[in-house]
Amino acid sequence: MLAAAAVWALFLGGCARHPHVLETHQLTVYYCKGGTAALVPLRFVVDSKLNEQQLAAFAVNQLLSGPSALGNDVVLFPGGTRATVSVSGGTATVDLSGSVADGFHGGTSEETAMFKSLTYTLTGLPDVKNVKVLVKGQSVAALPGGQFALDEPLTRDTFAQ
Amino acid sequence: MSRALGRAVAIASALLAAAVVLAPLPVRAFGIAMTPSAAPVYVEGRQIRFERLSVADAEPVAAVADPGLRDLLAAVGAKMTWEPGTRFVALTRADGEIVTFTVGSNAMTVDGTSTGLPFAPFYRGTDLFVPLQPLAQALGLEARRFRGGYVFVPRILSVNRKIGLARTIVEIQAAVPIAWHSAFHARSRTLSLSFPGFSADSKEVPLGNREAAQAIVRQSGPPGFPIATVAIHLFAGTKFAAHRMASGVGVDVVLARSEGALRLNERATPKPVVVVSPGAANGNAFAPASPATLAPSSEPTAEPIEASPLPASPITPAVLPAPSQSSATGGFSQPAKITSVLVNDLATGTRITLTLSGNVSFEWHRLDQPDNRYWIDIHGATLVGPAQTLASKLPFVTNIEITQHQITPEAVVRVAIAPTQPIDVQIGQVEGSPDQMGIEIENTAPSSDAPRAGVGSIAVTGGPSPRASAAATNPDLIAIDPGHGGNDPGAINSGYGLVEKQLTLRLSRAVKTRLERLGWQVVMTRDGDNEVGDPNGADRQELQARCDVANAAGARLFVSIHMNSWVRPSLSGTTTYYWRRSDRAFAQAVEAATVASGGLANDGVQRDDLYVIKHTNMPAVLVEAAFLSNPHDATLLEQPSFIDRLADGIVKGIMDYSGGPQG
Repeated sequence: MLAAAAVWALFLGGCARHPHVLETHQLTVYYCKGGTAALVPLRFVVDSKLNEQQLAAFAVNQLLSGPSALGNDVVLFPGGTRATVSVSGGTATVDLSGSVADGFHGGTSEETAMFKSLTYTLTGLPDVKNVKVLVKGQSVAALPGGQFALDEPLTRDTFAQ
Repeated sequence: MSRALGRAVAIASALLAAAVVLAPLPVRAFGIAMTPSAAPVYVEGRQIRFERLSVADAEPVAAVADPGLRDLLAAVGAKMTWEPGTRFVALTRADGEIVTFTVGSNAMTVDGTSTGLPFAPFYRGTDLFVPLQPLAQALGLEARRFRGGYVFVPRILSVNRKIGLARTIVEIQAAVPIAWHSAFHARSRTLSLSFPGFSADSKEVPLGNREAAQAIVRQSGPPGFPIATVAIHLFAGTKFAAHRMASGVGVDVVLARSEGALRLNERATPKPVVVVSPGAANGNAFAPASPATLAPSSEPTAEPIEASPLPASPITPAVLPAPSQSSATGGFSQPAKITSVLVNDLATGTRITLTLSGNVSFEWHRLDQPDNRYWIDIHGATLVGPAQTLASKLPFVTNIEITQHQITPEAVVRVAIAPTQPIDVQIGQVEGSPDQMGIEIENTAPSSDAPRAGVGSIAVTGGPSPRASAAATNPDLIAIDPGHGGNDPGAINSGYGLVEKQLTLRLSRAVKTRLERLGWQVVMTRDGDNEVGDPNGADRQELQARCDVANAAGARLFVSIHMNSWVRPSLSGTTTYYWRRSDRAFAQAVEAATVASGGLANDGVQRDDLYVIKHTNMPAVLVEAAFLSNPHDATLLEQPSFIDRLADGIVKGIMDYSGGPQG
């Protein structure tokens, strides 16, 4: 997707007669890794023409697909999880469906790490202040089988010790 | 027996007693052999220390001047009149009835009615001895043998109905001040009032067929600390309200079809009345208690200042009711207990919520710049559990300390706030929770002429909370939440055949057994392989249903029990989660004891936004006892002895934090 975005950006840049200048900005995706679920930031360079919603979708897609470079002790959303993302009024709304929405069977450490990654990543975007998680379009207390509270929007403060 | 007839009998009995003394018949008490006794005596779940308890003719006898007897009387709200050297002892019960003993007379009178004694009260030297069991019975207590000694348990003496035009009143009466917890189970429409520490005869009281068919009276709990319960299954549309009787020794439960008929106008009730109707608004706003704020003063410290709370009746600290008087509503002269401390960060500031078992008065003081210290002394209160230092997210509050500031001559709990700038604080009852005192530190600074000291009081009705989903805190009740269940297995380690929902239930049951052995009452959110909420409902209902169980029962503490899991098998150990900062000490106590007993790695305490520890009204933690995904932990989890060790640890953590049941 990154490559596609870059090609698209180059194409647009070409049309604008600035073929050698690609306006970009950085986007950071945070993963939780290792026994302490430490945040590991991975920086991506993306086209500045992507709007907030496209940036958010790009970031969530990275979280769902996972980084190959970080090893296998990274906490990811379970395979088969799908998400749609919209950004409005400072809130990124992430609607989860697929695997994780049908039933979560991990531990609290994993669950917390998943939402910590999601929240840190999305609130790193310039216009996102908090993240509201829906499951199959519904506001819920938690994932089915989960414990982590999803009844209120999440912020980085949610994870403050 | 009518009162007049009773008096006549009493007079006759007194004459008979006089005749007995005049005619030199042997009265058994004279010359009776007495041996000192170390038999323990328990009242209301605690042991009372007698200095000179003896046994005479196989009956325990106590000296009238024994501090233990005074303690016993205080516990049931009775008063004694006796002058050393005189022959009469009069006891005034909390309900106003009078009990008399006469030296040499082997009959006592209870409100004029004469009752036989195994032997007459007698003097040894200057000490007057009375038989203890009949005395306790006269006070409305039931005497039983217990752990090699005696336990005196207050009794529910009667449950009667009064059927009126628009309502039915269920009168529940004892002879001692009564405290109750109520819960309304919406699905079965059952209103239950429980009276911890009270015994009762099982019976069914017919109520007619309009609001409800019958009231069912039952007794449960351990013999030393029974719980009487009155359960009323309401017909659809029936509203209810519970009113403490003016005497304080009973409760009137009013059942009616209309809200207006719930009020008891004809009864002079000096205490606050709490009206409960099913489905009442779930308000939890913060309402300052009738503020008694002192007038502004230029003095930086708290001199006794002229007060002007309301135009009509100025209040000064000097006229604050003493704690023994201030407990008139609850009737117990012991200090109120602070059974839990919660800190919540709100949009408008930070709120400290203290759960009280009885009435308190308080005074607050503020120092000027640059010190800015603010403290609240809560008079007539004891802090259950350790002193606490709490953090607030407010940047200008360094910390908040809650300590037992003083024990004698009066118990005082101090809440000390260390701010870096002047702060504005509101103190009062939390609306909808009469047993909760709220202390709210506002985001905004006070005006420059704001008062620097003030007083106030909190009257805990002891009655049901208007929130249908919440009950007054029962200081002996712990809620245990076995994680997952039913169609939600939780984490699974198929290699070891381990399923989280089974392990959490096994461990929870082991915890429950141990807690009950220590005198706790336990409410489990589930005690089988089932969901707690509607299995077809949204997940919000499942986790909220678990919170509802604990909130409605008025549990003092909440412990959710889980097994952890991780993407890699490497992680092992125990973690305890908390959400409210005030629950950190609870989590630390459970974590330390569980690690010490279970022997797994100490993964520490973690603050985490978990639904069940966020939406329960009492101190709450979630224990992830071990990692299902780790081979070492999984091997241990297969062994029952390891589950027992984990249970021992969790229970020790609860005891360390709470100081034990408070009955």
